[in-house]
Amino acid sequence: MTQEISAFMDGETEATESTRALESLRRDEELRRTWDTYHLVGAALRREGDLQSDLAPRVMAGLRDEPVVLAPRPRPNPSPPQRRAWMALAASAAGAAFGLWLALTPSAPAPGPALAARMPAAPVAGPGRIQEYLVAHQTYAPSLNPQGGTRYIRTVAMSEGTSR
Amino acid sequence: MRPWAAAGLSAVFLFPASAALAADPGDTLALLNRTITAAQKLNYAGTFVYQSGGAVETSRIAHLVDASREFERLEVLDGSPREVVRNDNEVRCYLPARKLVLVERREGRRGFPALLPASVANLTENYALRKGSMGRVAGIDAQIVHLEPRDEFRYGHQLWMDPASGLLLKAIMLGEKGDALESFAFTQVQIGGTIDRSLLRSRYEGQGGDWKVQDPKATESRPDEAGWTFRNPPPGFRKVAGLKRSAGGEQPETAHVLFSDGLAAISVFIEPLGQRAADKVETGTSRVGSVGVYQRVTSDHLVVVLGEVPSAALKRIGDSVERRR
Repeated sequence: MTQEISAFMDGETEATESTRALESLRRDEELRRTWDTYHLVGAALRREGDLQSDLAPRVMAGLRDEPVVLAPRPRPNPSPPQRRAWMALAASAAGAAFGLWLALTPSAPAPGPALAARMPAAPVAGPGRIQEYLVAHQTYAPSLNPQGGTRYIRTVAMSEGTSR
Repeated sequence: MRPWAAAGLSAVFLFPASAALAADPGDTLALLNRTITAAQKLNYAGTFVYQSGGAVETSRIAHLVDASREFERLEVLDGSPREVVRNDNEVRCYLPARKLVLVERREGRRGFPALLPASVANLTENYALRKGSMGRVAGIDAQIVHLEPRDEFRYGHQLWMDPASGLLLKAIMLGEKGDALESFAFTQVQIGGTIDRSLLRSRYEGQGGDWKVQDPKATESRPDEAGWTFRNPPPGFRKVAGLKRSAGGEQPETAHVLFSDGLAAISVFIEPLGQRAADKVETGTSRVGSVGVYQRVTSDHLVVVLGEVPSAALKRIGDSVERRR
């Protein structure tokens, strides 16, 4: 599993693998420490000053409060991949306040200040906004949808964590 | 007229039935049309499994149409008991873990049925329709229909339909590599007959108190009046609706413009940035299950684009948003 976690950090996993990696992180404490260590090593390699060792509790807080959402696929022209994967979890760790966990890929590689400074500072679309938008989207989407009411599942699916 | 063309033409006139069979799309289109109507006109109740991004959930759905109104309730059976209840044009999403109700009202039924034939024609411009073999879903023999995207701006679909009633029994959305992005399938379904009204009542009904109700007002506006232009939407996507949303009070208005290619829909939401600093907003794409989200900042506004389409389509439409001068 640690290998999968490593691949996930590097943004090299497929969608289903990413979800599995997240699930494992959610369950396994040992694995979370491994996750921390990987990031510390990564940060040290990038000579980033402000090393943090308490990532896990915050990441887990994020995972508990946020649904399982896929990390973004790697882009063809990436910034350092481990940073993007980190961003994905940091967004959650910072409680980036989306009702749904939005793991955003920065469009351009940002300069690399301390890890803490890399956390998205403020929620972007307001809390619950994306979910509100999803409901509006499903409601107003043309009636041509052959799926009828079952399409609304998208608005509530996995939105509150299935593990409770 | 060239001889072969004449021969071809006479063949069509002499054997119209076989010609129609060869030109299968018409037949498949009719089936698809029936499915769309069935989803709105049929009474049904059942249990279905929804799969997205490696996660699986079972839900229950009931749909009832009486003289003039349509009722529907969807309840997730795994995890926290979320519900979506539709009472004609009003949709309420109950999220118990957050004690939150999201309300959305749809004014009128503009999309149906007047727009239907044109839309279905639009659909064949963007998807190749193919009638597949027969399959079996929830104990019902089903006709499989394949919708293959004609370009990279939409996903493929595989649909299982009940030939008797037209109801959609199973659907898979396929990614660029033919991988299943999302699927839904009935495991048990009752079509027609009496639907127990209690199946349509929310378990959260009347529970007020500490629940928060989010009930933004949306009014239709002509898409062109929204003050924004879309220079370069992906091919095949047309503007189908424009709305203004307001959460009331001091909240600024958000523009909502909806695009469709006949099957897939893309929503563009444009909200003022307000207090948020533009440089703190990350530009980029993400996915929430099968729904893609793209956001960027332009002219002091946050543009959020979402839909069940590949990121390329979201990005193209999002990047083409411009303030009308």
